[in-house]
Amino acid sequence: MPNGSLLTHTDDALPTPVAAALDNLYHAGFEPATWREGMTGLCRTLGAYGACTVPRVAAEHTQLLPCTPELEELVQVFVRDEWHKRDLRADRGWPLVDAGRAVLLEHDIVTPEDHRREPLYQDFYMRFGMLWWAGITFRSLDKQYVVSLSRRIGDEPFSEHDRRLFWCMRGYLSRVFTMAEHMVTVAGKGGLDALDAMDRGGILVDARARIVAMNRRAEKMVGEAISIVGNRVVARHADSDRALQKLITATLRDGPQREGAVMVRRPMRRPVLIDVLPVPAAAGAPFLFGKALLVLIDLEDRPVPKEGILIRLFRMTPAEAALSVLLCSGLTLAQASDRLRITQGTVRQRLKDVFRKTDTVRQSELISLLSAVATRKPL
Amino acid sequence: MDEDRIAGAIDACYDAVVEPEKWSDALQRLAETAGADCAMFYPKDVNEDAARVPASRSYAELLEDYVQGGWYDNHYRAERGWPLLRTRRYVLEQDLSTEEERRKLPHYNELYLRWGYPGFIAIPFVLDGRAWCLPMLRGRKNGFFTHEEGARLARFAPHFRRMMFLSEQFSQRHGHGGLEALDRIDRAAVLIDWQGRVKGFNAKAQALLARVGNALFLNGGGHLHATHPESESRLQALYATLRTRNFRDRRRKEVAPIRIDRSDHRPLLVEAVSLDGLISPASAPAHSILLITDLDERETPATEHLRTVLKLTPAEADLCVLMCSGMTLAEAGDHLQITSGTARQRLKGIFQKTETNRQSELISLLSRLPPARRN
Repeated sequence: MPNGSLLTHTDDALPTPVAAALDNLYHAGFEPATWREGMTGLCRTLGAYGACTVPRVAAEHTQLLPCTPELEELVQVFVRDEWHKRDLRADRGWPLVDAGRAVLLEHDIVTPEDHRREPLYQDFYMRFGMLWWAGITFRSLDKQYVVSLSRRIGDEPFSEHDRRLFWCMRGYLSRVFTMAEHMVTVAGKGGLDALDAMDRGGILVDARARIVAMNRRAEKMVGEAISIVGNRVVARHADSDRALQKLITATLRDGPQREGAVMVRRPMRRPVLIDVLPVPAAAGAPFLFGKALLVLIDLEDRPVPKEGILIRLFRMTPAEAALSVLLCSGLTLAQASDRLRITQGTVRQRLKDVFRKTDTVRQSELISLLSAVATRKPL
Repeated sequence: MDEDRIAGAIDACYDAVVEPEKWSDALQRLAETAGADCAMFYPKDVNEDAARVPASRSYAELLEDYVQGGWYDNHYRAERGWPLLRTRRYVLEQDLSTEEERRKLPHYNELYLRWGYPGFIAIPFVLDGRAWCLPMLRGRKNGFFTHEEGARLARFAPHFRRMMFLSEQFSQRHGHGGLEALDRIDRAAVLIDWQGRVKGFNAKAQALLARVGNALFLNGGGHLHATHPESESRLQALYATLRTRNFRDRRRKEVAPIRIDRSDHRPLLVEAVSLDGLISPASAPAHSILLITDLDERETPATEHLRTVLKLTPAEADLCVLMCSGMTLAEAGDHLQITSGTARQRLKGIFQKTETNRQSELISLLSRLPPARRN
């Protein structure tokens, strides 16, 4: 069946409570608290005791994906005790999915004999009181997932009628996940755009540190302070790169790091400072589609304030603004007076006026103040 | 009306949610699969901002005419249609006017017929309490929409609502992503919608607003206002400029920053930044980000931060901090109770490590460091 109609069943093809529950998942926005509610609501409409989401690749990420509260402990143990590495259901199920069966029920892949003999059941699922299972598989962007629905020992197994319903849900689940992933990317891109507007480089990377997007300012730094190797950011200076990779990995894994910012040296020019922050930058919270934002600050840049801003902000005259900009650019007062072709006396007076208008008393104070309104963007 | 083709068009619309520049084509495709000539999203009372919501290519010219000609005024389709849309799943031209009326209604004859679109349908949905619809126009060749077509298109209403809901979410996320990045580079920033209402602010902005309440404040309606009258008119002028900025015009027009006066303090600077991705069709014109700079507040970097990032020794870091606050080398030396020789030596070390040659460069460099983590 073509992908199009798979993804777009009209809501009225589903029973109303199910359609409403799926709609709620869109609204959940993948905030951990609301997705728990959303999944619980969905399970209620499907007569499932609980649900969790297992990726086909990197099943240890199950802990980060939508799950009902009832199964939270189970999921933790699933990963902690490495059941995900000897997952009978996954081993037998995915090949069937590849052969074209997108929704699987318990009896498709295990027998009552397996229930009696397999450790996965005896030592794991049944210990938690779980037995019956249905798996709704779907794709989202480049990944495959299964929403695993559970029923307890003593409940009825999921039926063929259920299977038909689940099949209709796949398109919605796929879209919910795709939108969630895009939303994280979009948040990252907002960061890139903002950094670009402030003349900082920005590079968005995914959970495996591969580059998702870069802003204009960062592109200019490629080939100089940094390189792109295998779609990853690499600092050209070896020691700096070691520190950078460490920082990126740690941030993706654990969130914002205390030891922030890596100085990347380069020949002939001042270094580039690279800071890494997670997206969304919720301090310490594990996030779903792990992405991080690299902030690149080129210390070679000498930001100077725009004369127009100084005029508007401090009511400076154009002449006073011009002098201020020169001083911020690193010229001494003498050099500034030369450049402006005015006498020492005039420049000193002008500086006094600038001090008065900015409420400063010395040049270093003035420069410190004006660096707050400095930007490198040309007029 | 082929279901599979509509399904494909709906998918293309969801793609446009993620990449708004695709709306024009996606809606064109949707229109065509429904046997229509144009389609758009239309929130109630969008009026003169109608040219800013997502619309198919062929709607664009008519919409310009619609806005410039002020056709949204006394529009029979709006007046009669919105009440009907509250209770029906679709509304057709035939529901809004009789044949007799159509011969005489100016809107129908001088706008729609002139552009060649006798047929009309609207599919309603509600988003956050606001009424919306998806109108479609049809040319003479296929004439009016039928009730059967209406019923079939109405089944997709949940998708249309979802698309606008998600668009709004994306725009918010994009904006908030911007706010967080700006927080990270130590800029106070506020996200505002097209009416100047504050939709979000970062931690730095929150702290700043708490501090400068007597000069700049958030009123009950969610708008930022300035206390001093002249500052307030500058602020209002800024909002007006942002409001008229065309979101389809991708070239960011420079909007001049403004000064907000404060008694007994240096003024605040408010600048608008437009981010390319901040297009929210759901709330018509673009959001903007306002950067607020408090010139009285200049954070001197934490010494620990200078040590980790710039690899300064504790002694160097102490000296660095003092000089960045505006002291001369001599004053800093006095303060630290070291000889001028020691101070000079220490400064040499700092210059070497930061690859700067003079105090002004050093200050400039330090102002560009990211702030210390607030873990």
